[in-house]
Amino acid sequence: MSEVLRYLSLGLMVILNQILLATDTWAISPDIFLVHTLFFTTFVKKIPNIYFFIFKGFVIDLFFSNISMPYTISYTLIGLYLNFSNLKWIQRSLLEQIILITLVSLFLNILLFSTNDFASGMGVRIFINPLLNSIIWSAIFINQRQKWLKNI
Amino acid sequence: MSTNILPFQKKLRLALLSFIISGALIYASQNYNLNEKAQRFLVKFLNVPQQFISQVLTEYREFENQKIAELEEEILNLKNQIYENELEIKSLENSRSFNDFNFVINKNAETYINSFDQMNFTCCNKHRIYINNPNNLTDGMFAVSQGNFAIGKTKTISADEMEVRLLSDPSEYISIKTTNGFFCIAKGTGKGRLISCLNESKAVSYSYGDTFFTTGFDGIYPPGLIVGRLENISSSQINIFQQNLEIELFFDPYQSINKKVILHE
Repeated sequence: MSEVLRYLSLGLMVILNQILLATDTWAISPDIFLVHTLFFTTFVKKIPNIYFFIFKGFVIDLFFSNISMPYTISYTLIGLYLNFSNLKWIQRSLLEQIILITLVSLFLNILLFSTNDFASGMGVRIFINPLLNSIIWSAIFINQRQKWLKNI
Repeated sequence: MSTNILPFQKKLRLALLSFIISGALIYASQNYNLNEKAQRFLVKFLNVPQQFISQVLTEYREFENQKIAELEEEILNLKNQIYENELEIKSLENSRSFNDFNFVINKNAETYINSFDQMNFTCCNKHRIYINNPNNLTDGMFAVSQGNFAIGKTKTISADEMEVRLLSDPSEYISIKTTNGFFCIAKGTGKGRLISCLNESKAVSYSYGDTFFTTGFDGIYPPGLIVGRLENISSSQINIFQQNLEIELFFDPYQSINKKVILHE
């Protein structure tokens, strides 16, 4: 069931991202695919394997990038990190998590910027997006911290 | 969420394999132009719901506009009703009914206001309304009233409408009096709904709020029509016996469209 939900939600995210692009709000909104990943690595008990991450990145690139590289590479790295890490993602300190999210967002946006000719606002997105992603994660973290502490 | 602790060799193998798969996917998408195809498919796939949503939105907006138009019309009707009721109250305050005339009204003398020259009213001291020509009159001068309230007199008459110069027009004069017996000739001030007259004798007293009626002396307006209320009294600096009286007219041209008026020969 969770597998089906994972693929279904990915499809929905693709549609949502297309809507954000069509309404010119993409540049000033958080990266919904990263947020989606954060949700799924947080709320689902078993972390998906590395191949799912590669597939996810590739699918996103297919629909939203001229070259299938920015998301594929970023998601390969995310998948490797999450699968190889000895510590659970939610067990890390908030600062560590925010630094990681910021770095990944920055890396991803720089790749997107260098391989695509998206509409205006791409320059703004490089700075806004890491910040927005971090804020969203902080909100999730603050909300769920008590629950995680019980379960760890 | 759970993590499995993998041995280093397996990690290395997995990492290598991941990069090879990623590379292969990137290569394949470039080679077969998959990105362009996928993007075209997505646009086509979303085109149908997009059209549907935009159609629904357009219809909703049209529905809302229609609702707004209906409400605006209702508000306008209510405003008109309020205005007419207010006039009726003012009539009763002056001890007469709105439609109780002390002169004979010809049935054919009733007509309707069809337009108001708002631009000249606000900018250029030219205060005009236009009424329908009920009996295809060709010449003559008629006083025009709304019920018991004096409006002005006709100026030019064409086949289908008559131009009415309002009392507030600077070239318009009217003979008026109060119930105390104070008489004066009032002149339009060029300001909206205001006329003024001079008092030189101070023989008869008057005070703020006094209502003025037509005397009928000018031979145009029938006697007893309600004109307005005394709003302001100012003294002249040159002649201490002279005072300027400002009278606010009851007739409001902004609320006049489609109202019934009477022509007095």
